Amino acid sequence: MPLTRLILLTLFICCSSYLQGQSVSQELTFAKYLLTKKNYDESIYVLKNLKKFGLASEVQQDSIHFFLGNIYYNQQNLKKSIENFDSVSNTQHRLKSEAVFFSSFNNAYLKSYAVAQQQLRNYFPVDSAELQLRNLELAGVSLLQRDFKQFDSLSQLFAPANYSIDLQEKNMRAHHELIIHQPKKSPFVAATLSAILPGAGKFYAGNKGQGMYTLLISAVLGLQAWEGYHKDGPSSFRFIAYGTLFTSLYIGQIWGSAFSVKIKRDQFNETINNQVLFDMHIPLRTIFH
Amino acid sequence: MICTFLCAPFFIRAQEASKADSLFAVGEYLPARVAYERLLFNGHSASHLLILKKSYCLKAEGNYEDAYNTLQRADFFVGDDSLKFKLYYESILNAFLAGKHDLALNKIQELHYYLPGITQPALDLLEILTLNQLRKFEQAEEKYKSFVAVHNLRDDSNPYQKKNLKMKNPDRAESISHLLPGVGQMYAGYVGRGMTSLLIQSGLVAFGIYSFVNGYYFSGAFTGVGLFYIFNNGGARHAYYLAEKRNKALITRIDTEVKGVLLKEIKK
Repeated sequence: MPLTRLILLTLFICCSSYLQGQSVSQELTFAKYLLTKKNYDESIYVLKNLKKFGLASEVQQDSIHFFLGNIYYNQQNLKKSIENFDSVSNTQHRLKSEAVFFSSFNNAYLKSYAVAQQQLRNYFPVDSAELQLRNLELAGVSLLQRDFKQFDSLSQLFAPANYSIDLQEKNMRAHHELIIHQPKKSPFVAATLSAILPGAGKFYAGNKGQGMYTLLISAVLGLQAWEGYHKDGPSSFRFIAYGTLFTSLYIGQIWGSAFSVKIKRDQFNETINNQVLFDMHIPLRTIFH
Repeated sequence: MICTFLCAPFFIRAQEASKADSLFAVGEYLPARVAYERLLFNGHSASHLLILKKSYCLKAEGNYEDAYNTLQRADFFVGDDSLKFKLYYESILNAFLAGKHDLALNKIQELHYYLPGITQPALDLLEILTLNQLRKFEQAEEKYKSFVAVHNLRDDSNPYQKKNLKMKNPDRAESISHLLPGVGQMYAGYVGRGMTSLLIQSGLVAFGIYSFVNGYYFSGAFTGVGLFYIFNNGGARHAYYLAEKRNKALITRIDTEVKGVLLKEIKK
């Protein structure tokens, strides 16, 4: 009799855990269905409930974190995306590899370059395609850090082996060339040029339109100030008013020219960085999706 | 025993549907949406009704565009006419609330074509308001008059009388303001702003002339003519904006008057 009870109890426990596993698996399929339909808030709700009840196995928990990472990535909530991708353990290689690459990319996007690099270095690729992808991503991060020595050593490993990465490797080399040949302009030179001829510093910085506009406005105010001085003398209201306006503009545009060199340099760096990130992102989407 | 097993899925789904309804009733819209979607995912037979209920959740959350898109997942050619009508009506309402008036009118025309005999006062009101937003006042007036006649409503003042329909042409307002500074704003119905614009621009012209006459050629050209040019362009753009604003205000007034008359019947 006690033996029968024991058998029945064992059977009951086995059945209930099997059914629990089945139900978690169904919920995961449902969450994936919501994700593909882009019903992100609903999918997050389902996945968070699964996490809360703690019935999922380790493999299922990985799937939960992976899906959440994907959803937050699609919603541009990169910090939460990283948090979830980093929680994916090593139970399924396919999920782990995608989670590592996307988490690293998110970190690069958020300018946490050291973390992004560390994640890629700690990851061991299982085939040549993953190795090539890892090298490309590392090269991208080193370009974002402006670490040209490291980029040179990584770019030597670039190999025309995978169609989906080849173009991006070429692009990375082109970005590198653009960065190292970026014209180096001095704010001091810009300020001096603007002091000699209003707007010339902005022209030198690369803002040709702004330079012309500054020259025009300065000329307009300067001529009116000169007219006031010439006709009414230095103590006239007309000369004081236009002279004050002209002097303010003149001093302001000298400062503005020096500053515009920095703005132009920042704009250049931002544009290049966005292109590097774009070329890091394209192979991730091609290979994993 | 066999019957119990066969009936079990049916009871479970019925229970899930009722749970979703209760969630909706207490304002738990996200869990309710998920519950309806789960039933759809599991192949519940009443898919149209579930889609409709899910759209109610989204509408209650103020997410009209998603509510409209959810409704478009339903097959409008399947099911009984009353359900089809609800699907159409909700599509029209959500499109209207999302500001997609073209889509709303498109759905109204579809509804009249496929369900010719069916109508409701609320739908008529929605159609009139949609036509107003699209500035199709003739059709809106026709619809309004027929509604008032059918329901024997008292209509002391026709909202579509001519004085209410005097829409301003924004392009004309802009052109007038270029030629006659400030008059474009006055044409749009903003006399005070028109006068201010006129005064500023006249002052600049006067300053320019005065400067030229007294030999201040640079001041006359740059301050007088230059600033006049800038203010003239700005004033003309402002006149365009004011004409648009005026037209929107007119439509809102017509809408309010139409609602005032028609809602009496709908609330009955």
